Amino acid sequence: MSNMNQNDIISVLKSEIQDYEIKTTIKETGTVISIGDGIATVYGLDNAMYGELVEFETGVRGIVQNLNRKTIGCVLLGSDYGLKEGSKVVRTQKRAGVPVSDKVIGRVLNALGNPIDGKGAIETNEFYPIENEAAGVCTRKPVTVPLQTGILAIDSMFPIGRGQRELIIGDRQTGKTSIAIDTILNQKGQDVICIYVAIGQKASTVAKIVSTLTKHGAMEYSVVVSSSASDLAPLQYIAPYSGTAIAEYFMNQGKDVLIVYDDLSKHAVAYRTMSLLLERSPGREAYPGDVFYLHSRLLERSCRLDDKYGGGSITALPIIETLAGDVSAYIPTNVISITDGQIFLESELFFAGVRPKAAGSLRIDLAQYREMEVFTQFASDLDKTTKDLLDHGKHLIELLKQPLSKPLSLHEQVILLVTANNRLFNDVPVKDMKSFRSDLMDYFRAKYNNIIEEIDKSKVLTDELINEIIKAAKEFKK
Amino acid sequence: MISQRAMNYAKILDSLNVDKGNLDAAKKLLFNCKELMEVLENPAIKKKEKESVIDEIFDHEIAKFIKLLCENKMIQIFAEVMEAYDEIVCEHNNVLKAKLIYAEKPEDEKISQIKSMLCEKYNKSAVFLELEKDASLIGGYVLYVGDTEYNKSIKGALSEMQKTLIGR
Repeated sequence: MSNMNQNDIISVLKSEIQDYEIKTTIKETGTVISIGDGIATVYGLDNAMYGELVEFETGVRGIVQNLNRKTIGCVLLGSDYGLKEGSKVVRTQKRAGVPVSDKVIGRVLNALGNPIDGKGAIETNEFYPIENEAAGVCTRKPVTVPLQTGILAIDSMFPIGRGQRELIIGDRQTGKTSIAIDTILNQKGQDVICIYVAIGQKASTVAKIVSTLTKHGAMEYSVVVSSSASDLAPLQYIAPYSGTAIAEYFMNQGKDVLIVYDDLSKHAVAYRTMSLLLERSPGREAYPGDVFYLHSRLLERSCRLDDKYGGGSITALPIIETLAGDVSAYIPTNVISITDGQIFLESELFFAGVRPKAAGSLRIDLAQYREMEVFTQFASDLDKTTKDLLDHGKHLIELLKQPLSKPLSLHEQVILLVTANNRLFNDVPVKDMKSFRSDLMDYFRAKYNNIIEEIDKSKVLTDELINEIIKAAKEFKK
Repeated sequence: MISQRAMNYAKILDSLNVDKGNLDAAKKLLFNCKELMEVLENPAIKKKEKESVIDEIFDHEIAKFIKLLCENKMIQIFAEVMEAYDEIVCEHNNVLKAKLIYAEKPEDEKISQIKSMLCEKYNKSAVFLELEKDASLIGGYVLYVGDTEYNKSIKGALSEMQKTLIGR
């Protein structure tokens, strides 16, 4: 395009205009009778469908959300500047959709799928509707393949499967977003497309996340869909659906997709704003009656397709922010009930037993440690078993401490956990754990690369392999 | 826009089977005589006084209807009621209402052509065509039938061309 000179452009325009055929256009039009707060009431458009896209005379588009006897209620997807009573509205006979293509990878998009990173337009003719029916029972396959988050505490105790929906829930500043971002960083080289949907976030936060992803080379397989706090409520409302539409595009190609919704509490608030302005009846906490359906139909679109249908998957990591640790509030309980598992980022609750019931030895050890922890102050009077238990627990906690943006690979996790479970760490002083850990990994990399390769290749932990790891670790300790 | 309220009153008026000539006279009077409308709208004037005025001016059936409007404090939507009533009458007589906006007034022959085309397309026995001049169309005409807009004007063609050229 850029190496076209002025005369070329003019001649192209001239021929376009010369060949332009004047046709009678037939349109269905309505008239704006009132407009305000991003909601327009339009008289006419008798045949408009629910959820249809309409175009206002300024070029701004809207979605039909209310159908009344003589009027329809539309939410605007752009500025209401220039629109007034009497402005014309035209039906497009299309449902709202987002442009999709492989070129969206590495880009930052708005809720309508248009790039906002200044790297030019994305050329594509393919559209996916933002509201799509979830896959049916017969098209699905059980969740069996894990998706490593790279966070030892999660992968060892509450592993996430591809096609699963794992809720990350907690108060502000408890590291919900960091878990999601670490998970995205850990997907490098795993052939997983990652989509990060920011709903009602500060633009500065989104910019920071994009720069983190770029810095670690994660944008090569990621898409960021952002609808920041200053965007209109309808745009914040459709953002997660647009993100899911993009995810479905990749899933239908047989790819594994990870999608993060950050966060659904703000999404519910945006929908509440929109519903109240549309004069729908408020229910509990002023949320409309269909706020449960709002999230259930979104998260139900995550699935693992059967091989017959391409075998792709969408793994969802929705995030919910709670106030003062109140997980029994309206929106948190709703989303907890829809998701397959939850990660609570609230220490007291986390260890008090509110978690999935399946047990692993690490989890039991930790729970026992927490129970006994109160007795640490009587250290001198304790019997040997309790002392051992407390000591083991302390080492485990130390092991689970992990810096930000440093996800652990599969073999690292396996080696550390096998060593820890066999209590080989327990005679190392707690303060030296960090260096001991990295030295151990260096030792394995230098001398026992065959074990690392075996783990990464087979992805199965046999008794033989366990014995080999124990042997190597004991050797290192000498 | 016609509200449901106006539509309900129009239906009542329709059921009264008023004489068309009398109604037209009443309409003319109420639309043109500002003072009369002010009196009827004024809540400070007693109902009895209003009714005696109405009885004096209007024909029996119409007086009854206007009294009802005054009593329900709805006389201010009289114009809207009339609009709704026109629509009902059109429906009864199988007449299609359409609006033609033009830059230059088309020849009578062309207008009758449009009318017969509309009759055939919408399966109506007659067409009531409202005519309006709008020089900003530059040339051609725009025809509105209900929600549907048939645009055959230069202005419409230019905006369509603009859309194609900038690829929106």
